Amino acid sequence: MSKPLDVNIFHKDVMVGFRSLRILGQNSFGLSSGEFASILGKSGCGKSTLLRAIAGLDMAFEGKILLGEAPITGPGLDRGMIFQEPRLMPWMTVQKNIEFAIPKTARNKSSFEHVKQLIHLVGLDGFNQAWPNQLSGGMAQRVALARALVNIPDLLLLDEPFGALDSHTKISMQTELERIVRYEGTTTLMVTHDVEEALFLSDTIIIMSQQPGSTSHVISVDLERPRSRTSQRFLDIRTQILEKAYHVEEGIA
Amino acid sequence: MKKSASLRHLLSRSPRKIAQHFISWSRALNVVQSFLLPATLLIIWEISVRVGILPSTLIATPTKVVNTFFSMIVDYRLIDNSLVSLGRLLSGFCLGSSLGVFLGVLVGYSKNAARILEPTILTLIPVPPVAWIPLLVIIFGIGEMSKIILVSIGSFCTLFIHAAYGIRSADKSLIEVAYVLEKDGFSTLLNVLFPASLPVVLASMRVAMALSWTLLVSGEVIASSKGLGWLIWDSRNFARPDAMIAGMVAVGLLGKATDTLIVFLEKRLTSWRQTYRDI
Repeated sequence: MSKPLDVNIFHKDVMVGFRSLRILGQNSFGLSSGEFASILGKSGCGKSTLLRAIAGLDMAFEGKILLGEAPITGPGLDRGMIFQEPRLMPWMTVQKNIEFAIPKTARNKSSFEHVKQLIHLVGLDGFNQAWPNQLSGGMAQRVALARALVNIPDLLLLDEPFGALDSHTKISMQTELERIVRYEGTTTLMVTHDVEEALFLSDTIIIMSQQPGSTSHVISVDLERPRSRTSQRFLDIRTQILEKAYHVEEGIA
Repeated sequence: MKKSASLRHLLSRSPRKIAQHFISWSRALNVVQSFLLPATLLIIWEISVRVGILPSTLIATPTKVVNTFFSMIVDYRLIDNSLVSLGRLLSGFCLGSSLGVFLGVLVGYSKNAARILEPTILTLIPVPPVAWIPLLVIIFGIGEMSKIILVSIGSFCTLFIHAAYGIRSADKSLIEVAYVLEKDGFSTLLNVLFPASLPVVLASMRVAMALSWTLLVSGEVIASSKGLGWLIWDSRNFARPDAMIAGMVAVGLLGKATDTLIVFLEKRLTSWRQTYRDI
């Protein structure tokens, strides 16, 4: 069900006081169907703004974004979105939170069955009736992942999804995400500032430069999966990216 | 959830331990804590009247009040007037608060509705409900309706302000989720905005209920021939301080009961929250 994504943004300007500020410059890249790509860049470079544009949350830009053949004009169920925080409805149980994402007209026995399968897929069996405040940060983010996947989106968008988690949980969540996305075969675009995370998960890494945020490098990662975070090849590419994206010399990082 | 877990833990222990739990010193102390203040006040009151610090012709002793209280239950006067008052209170409270929640939610949700309704309602709210009494008596006489409407004005004002505030202060990040999920306005209102406003709405219901009692008793004192407010005022006129205070006690007990009812409702409807209360 996944579709290719074609991003072609010329620029995006916002008014700050009486001055027009260019926050996004030229951003052109494409994702083939089923590809996992990461946008990597310094904090404040506009990578979240770019992702919000693709999600349809912020349409004030010059350019065009195509998902499959159709241009993106607003939010839609063909894209699943995960924010940095889980953003679960605190008054809905885990199961209700996921079911809430399903449009009313599509709710039936098989869709509820699908919810149960997803709860199993993200490893939350037995937590169907739990309240969000009873979950840990990692568990809550798993629910958000299930919610984003429930409508079988063509494109999965992740905005620093593991940024708020501790490093142990983060690593296990990355492994889980890889497994789930491979299983579902969804085209995925993730925003992150974590080089190792991007390298562990992505087929393609898009590096953004600052002021205005624009695509500076597109690196394809030809490491076989499952990837080892400690292999020499992994570390070599990591160094290469650090030098490109952050102008960090080896040894200083 | 936490309470039932602790209960299960408790029941898994030996009967002797369970008995110890219920008659432990800390539990006894909790009970003493709750009764310390009212007991002291009652004793001071009783002694003051008996010794003659307070005139016994104007103020009855607590023991006399308790006596009168029970005899008024037996001769049905207290029950009869309580039922009349409760009927007025609950009708007025339900009418006023449901209308208040409805319009408050509407105004909080829709900017158009806010522009049309809010200036008028916000101009009417500062008029104290008691100031409505003369007008209500002119329109409805001293029958049931004038009291019910008086109570409902107070509940309406309280709930209107808080429901609108509750909707408006809903977390923007959750509304964004509804937006990403292509939910229409009604679904967003029902599933995101309204549940978000519930804690504020239910807390303000307690305030509205307390205000309802105030207004009911005021209304009954001024314009009525039945109800607890009338009973209190009538007892004063017949120089029966014991019956007067017995009426006040009845208002206090029933007020505590209605408050407990709303607290119960609040705990039920917002059980998804973990707050200081649950620690």
